[in-house]
Amino acid sequence: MKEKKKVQTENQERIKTPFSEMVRKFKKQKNAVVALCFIIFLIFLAFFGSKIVPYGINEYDYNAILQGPSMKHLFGTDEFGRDLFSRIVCGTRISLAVGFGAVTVGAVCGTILGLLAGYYGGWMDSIIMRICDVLFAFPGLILAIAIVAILGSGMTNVVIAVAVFSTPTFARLVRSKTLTLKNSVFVLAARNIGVSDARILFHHILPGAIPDIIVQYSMSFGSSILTASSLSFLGMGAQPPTPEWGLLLSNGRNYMASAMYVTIFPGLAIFLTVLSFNLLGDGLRDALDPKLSD
Amino acid sequence: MSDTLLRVEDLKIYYPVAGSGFGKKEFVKAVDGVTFEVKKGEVFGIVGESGCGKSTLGRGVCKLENLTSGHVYLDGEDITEYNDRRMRSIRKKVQMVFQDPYASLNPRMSVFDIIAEPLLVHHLYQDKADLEKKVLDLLHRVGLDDYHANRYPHEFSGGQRQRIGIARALAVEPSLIIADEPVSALDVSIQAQVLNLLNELKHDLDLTYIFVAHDLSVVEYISDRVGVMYLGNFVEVGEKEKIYSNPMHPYTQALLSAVPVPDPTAKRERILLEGSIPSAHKPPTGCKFHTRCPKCMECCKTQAPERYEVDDGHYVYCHLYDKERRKQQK
Amino acid sequence: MATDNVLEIKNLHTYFYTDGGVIKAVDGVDVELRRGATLGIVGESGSGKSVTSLSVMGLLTGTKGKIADGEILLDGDDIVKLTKEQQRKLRGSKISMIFQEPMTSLNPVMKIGDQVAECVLQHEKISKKEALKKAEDMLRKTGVPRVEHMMKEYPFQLSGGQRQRVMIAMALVCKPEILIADEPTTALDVTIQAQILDLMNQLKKETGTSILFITHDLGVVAEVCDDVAVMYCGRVVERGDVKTIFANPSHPYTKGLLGSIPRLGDAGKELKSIPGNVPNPKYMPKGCKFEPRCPYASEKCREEEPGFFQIEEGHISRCWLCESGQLKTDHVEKAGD
Repeated sequence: MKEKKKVQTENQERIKTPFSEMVRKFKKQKNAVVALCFIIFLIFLAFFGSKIVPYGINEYDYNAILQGPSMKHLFGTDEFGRDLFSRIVCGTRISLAVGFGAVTVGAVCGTILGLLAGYYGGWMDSIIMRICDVLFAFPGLILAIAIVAILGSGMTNVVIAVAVFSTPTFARLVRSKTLTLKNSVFVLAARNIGVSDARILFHHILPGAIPDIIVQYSMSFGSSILTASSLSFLGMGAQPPTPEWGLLLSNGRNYMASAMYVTIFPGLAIFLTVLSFNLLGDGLRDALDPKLSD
Repeated sequence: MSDTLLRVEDLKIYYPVAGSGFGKKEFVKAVDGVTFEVKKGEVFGIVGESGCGKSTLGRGVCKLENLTSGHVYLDGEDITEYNDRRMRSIRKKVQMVFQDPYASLNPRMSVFDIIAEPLLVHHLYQDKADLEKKVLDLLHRVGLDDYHANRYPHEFSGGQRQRIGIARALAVEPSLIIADEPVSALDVSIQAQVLNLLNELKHDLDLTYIFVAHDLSVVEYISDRVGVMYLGNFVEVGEKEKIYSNPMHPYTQALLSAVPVPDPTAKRERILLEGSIPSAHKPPTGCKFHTRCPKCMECCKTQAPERYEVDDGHYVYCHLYDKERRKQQK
Repeated sequence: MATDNVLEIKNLHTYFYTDGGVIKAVDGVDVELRRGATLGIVGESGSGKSVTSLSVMGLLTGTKGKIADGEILLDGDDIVKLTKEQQRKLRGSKISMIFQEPMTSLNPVMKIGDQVAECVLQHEKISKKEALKKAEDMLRKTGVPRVEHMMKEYPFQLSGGQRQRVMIAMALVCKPEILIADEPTTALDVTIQAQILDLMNQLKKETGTSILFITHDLGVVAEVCDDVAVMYCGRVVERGDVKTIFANPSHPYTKGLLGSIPRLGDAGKELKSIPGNVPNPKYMPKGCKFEPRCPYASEKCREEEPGFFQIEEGHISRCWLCESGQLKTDHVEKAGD
């Protein structure tokens, strides 16, 4: 009787899928959990921020120009008397959208290029990697400026510029992972079964590279937001009166001496957002690393 | 010759390595001209020390390595030149079981998906229910339970993983299974379980095995015929009884005498070989074993020995058994 | 000295304290190593044999492991109670160890001669020159070819067998009383293994060092050991001299182990495998740890873990079948049929 009970418990033990293992390990990373909560909060603001803010983003109030933080205006007002809090909250959507769009495009392109380069090697590898080397040779921001200069300013072009400069990172990452996995015994075993190249690529190699892609995705998300804001700060991205964080920062710069908060709050928003994505990336890396068990 | 399932003729597998000279290509001769046959229903054991090319040979036979030259005939069909696409139908006949049960299963696939994959790839099922039934049957066949199907490889012990690997190989109902060191990573008690399972499956499913291993006792236990490899070549091939009771090649003799016997009362004369295996990159000239051979003659240093049949189906690659030469010396 | 045992391990328990809970890697090990003899500790992976050796060497620092209970008596003195510094002084001079992996246990950026000499310098107050001389003598004894050259070479230039010889030279250069060999030949080929085993036997005779030999290979045990302790799930389950254990095993696990190895020249026989797997540490059986896989298990085995029973002088077994103090071979055989 007792034996039966024991066997049952062992049989009924919760199935540990790779995903559930990841969640278990992720929960142990306190920093990353806090960062994730903050990011979820940001996403919530991106969707519903415009409905909950007390003022419209372009609601001018010339009676309250450059006022300090108060109960009425939590973050104060800018040079046109617009409520800074409302503008920053509404700016979340823009920053997240730029980050999401640019990194997603970059990750998809980079992953496909990396898979092809790593798996087939030869001339395909040479061409793809040399292009990546060229892109890597430019500092990211300079590259983005160059692309925006060619395509013209505007948010869509910023997304394209940031996507182009994040693609090689993904390509290189996925390629090196592909090279490792290509020679693993389980891929050999799959070839032995007669699995086609496409299935090997997408069923055996890609899932193995996904954890690294996710980590890189999170890291790139932060840096993309930073780059996009930098472009706007330089006047090459979002145009006034868009409440883009980089643009807010740039406007506030003129009043730094008299009204510091006009620059502090947008800066803080950028800082916290980028930091959260980096912390999340670190946490995910540890949670997804198979070597770090427990 | 209808009972010959596999014939390998003068197979060579070389790996290119960076040469010392400029533009000069150099090769590691992992397999250097191997010839053998495997009959239907038998177990052919390939035994040798690390670096002798036995695993490369095993993988080469099912074309998971690029063959440099030679021929591989399966069921009379020359598969040497087949590309990946044409090999796909051959893979239904030849399957491999790998050494490391930890590395050979994709950690991100459930056991069900791992075993179902060959069925999916070759369309060997009618509908979803049929697929499920087939996978569960395979699981039972190798001694696992239904509840194991939804679990992932990391939850299994080495022996259980090897069972999963065997189930995957059986899925396409092959006639030849190449087992590359299938038990060397396992504990003794588990090793016996897997060996017995392989024996049982062979009888139930009419399988033929090529069994590659470094452990002479394991190879003796499971094989009908044995080939002993040294540095990319066979040195002796023959019926297991003949090889083990009457080893002819000096290397086989030394190898057999070096195996520790689990009997503290046994007293044996041991032939201690000197030095270690030379590199396959620059193998010795002549007979590759002559640098360590206790019976090395002058001719061994320059001339590679041919195959001499010393007994019915018992072949030795050694100048000692060259009848012509013996006559001359007398 | 009152006893001729150079090393006695009494009721050793080594636990690992991890986030997932306490793992009882060693949970009741009692062995005695006679002076000048070789004691084999046999067990499968996870049986705790390596952790036992690390506990003796005091090499658990840096891991989550701790000796929870028990004594390790070296010449009658308990070394568990010593400070870290005292333990360090013992290592290399009185006890030394060779590891399984000859490829990774040598420092890749240090010359062979310097590595061997360093061991001497750590424990003896002599000049570097004298230490190198000692190292050279020791290397010569281990039979490495071209010693003068070898002294100036780096590990990557050596083959696996040569590296293991260097490891042995390092371990023995300070003439320790005890040499712990943790699977020293597992990574080597049979012909090289034969060379190394031969060397160890020869050096043992010359130096009188006692050897604690840890392995999973019963063939190797039969060749080199005088006494054997069989381990299962962190416990010693049977202990005795090597001939008794092989001829007359009394614990069902030992029997199973001996039945499951294929032997040269015995290929006709079917292998008797032990069914099942080593229990999951989370679901350790309550009674005898071998009970779920044991063909002779009874209700008593399920409920209560057996202690040691003496079968004859020096042969003890942790099995209820041996309770009455005499070997019940007949009973056991019958139950198996």
